[in-house]
Amino acid sequence: MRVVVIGAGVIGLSTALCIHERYRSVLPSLDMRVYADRFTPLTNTDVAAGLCQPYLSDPRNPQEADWNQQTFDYLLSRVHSPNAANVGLALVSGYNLFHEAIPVARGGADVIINCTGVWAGSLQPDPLLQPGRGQIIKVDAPWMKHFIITHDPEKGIYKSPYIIPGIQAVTLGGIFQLGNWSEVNNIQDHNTIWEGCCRLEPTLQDAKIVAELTGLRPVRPQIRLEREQLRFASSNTEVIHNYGHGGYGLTIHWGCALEAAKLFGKILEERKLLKMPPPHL
Amino acid sequence: MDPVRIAVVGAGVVGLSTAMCVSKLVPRCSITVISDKFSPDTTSDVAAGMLIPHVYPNTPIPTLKQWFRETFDHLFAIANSAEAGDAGVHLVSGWQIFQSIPAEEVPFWADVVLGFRKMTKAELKKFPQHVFGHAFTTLKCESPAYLPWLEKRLKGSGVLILTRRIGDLWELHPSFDVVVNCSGLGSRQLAQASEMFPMRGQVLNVRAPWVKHFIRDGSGLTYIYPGTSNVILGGTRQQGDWNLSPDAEISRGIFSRCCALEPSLQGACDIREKVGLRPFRPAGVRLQTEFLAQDGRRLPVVHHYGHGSGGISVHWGTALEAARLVSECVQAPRTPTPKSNL
Repeated sequence: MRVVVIGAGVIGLSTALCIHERYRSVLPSLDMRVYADRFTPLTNTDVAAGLCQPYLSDPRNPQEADWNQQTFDYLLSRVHSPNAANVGLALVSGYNLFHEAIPVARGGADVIINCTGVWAGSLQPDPLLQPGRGQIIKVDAPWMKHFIITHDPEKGIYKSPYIIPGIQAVTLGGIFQLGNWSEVNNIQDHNTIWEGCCRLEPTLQDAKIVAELTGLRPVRPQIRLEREQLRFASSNTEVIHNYGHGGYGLTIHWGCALEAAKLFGKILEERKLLKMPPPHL
Repeated sequence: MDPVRIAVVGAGVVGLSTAMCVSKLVPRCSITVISDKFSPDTTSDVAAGMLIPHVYPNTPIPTLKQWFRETFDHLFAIANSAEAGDAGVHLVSGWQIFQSIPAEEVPFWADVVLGFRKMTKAELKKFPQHVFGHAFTTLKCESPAYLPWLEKRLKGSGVLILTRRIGDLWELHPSFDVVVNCSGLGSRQLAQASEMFPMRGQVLNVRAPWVKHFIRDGSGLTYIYPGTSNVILGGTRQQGDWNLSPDAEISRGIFSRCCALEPSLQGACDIREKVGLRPFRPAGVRLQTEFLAQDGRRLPVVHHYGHGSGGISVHWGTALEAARLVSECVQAPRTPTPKSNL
């Protein structure tokens, strides 16, 4: 069984890991490969601050709430281990601020797992998928122990300043441009971020800038996490799509990987490839 | 009338903050801070500077709460200003955890710190040996930055800073009209306070920037306090121990106790050991005016020492009180009649 995972951001790698962990022992023929044009630290995931916090409004697909919870539980179970910091995991507390009270699918593979994020359109056109361009400034400000995220319902998510302290640096942001494919840092966006964040937290004026990055959030009304059968020449190739996680990919990645693994299990059952009953997910 | 000449002995957090309060409260005075040690060599510099108050036996709780609140408000204003980085003051959230449910589930200072609440069962899962906890946000005031910041402000206000070891308060007569004694453990000599003793504390300064929350065991013996550029792991309370050299076995013990609470600390690096001698006074903080008299000479002394483990948590409140005592002293008529010691 040849499985190809396309994409090596957080979605590609976690999906590959999840499927591999669950099916390797019951599917001896499992041959899994991850293909990508970019690997860490050059993926869109690498630009994200990595704060696990779902969007404040309810997701269109109620399943996404379960996936968020599964991801949180998975990461929480690992954050207390001695190795947590090396894996980039840490607990952080902070503040969400509001202006007003808020009442809230070519032959060569048997299965292809499509984790191509914002680039999914080049494999198969998807008018629902758009880039949500973001720019961030990373600063050295180790006295910052809390995240501060402002919310402006008129502007929308991530368009209002935010400050997220990480393990080595603090991420300053507040840019979300739908439809903008530019991967180059923009000086006006730099000023917007800097002025907005320094107004929130005046001590940042003394902070040294360590890096400035642009990333493209894979924005979609809801995540595309489903099977599709594509015909290449004379054979059917199974595709599992797992893309369109917007600005909350890290928050939801493990729940989605579990769901993708479930879909993979269904494929194995249909093809009667499992030697023993599938492992309980 | 000539300005009143005031000497403040001691340049730890108590000395410098007292000099500051006196300079604001007492009109027409010239202040000189005299100390043999300045930051980073004071006792204050070893302390983590977490604002969590300690109880003093002879201080009524309302007074202690007032001192704590005054200190918290003073530092909170600095933390929210552009000065915060220079002054070494910032907010930090975290947990105080207990292995058995404490007699007092809500301490007297709960409404002074921010967002005080009991920990949830889910939060307590992080600490399998502990059954109860408090979660709150408080301030951290780091002396290696705070003391130089205060010093700069004092100099800007015309306060003189002098490096000199004082062996006897009478050395300050007749150059000064009033002495404010903020010498901490030095009061054993300067105020004949033989009942004072050091409460030795050893700590580790480590680099572990992923630790964003403080963790304090309710007993106060084990703590993890993340700061601006390092995390302080502690600690010990060794009564009467004057040894300023770090003990390697104690360091291992501290590290092991802290890793038990926060396993990721095993990845900490740049570990440095520090020792401080907390200025412990059995009766608590001495805030009292004494009129020294000898051979017809008279020297008013305002004593302000004995803060033990809780100096930084109440320093501004007690400094305001000391400044009031100095003010009373200065306003009293300057007669040559000696008064008995209080």
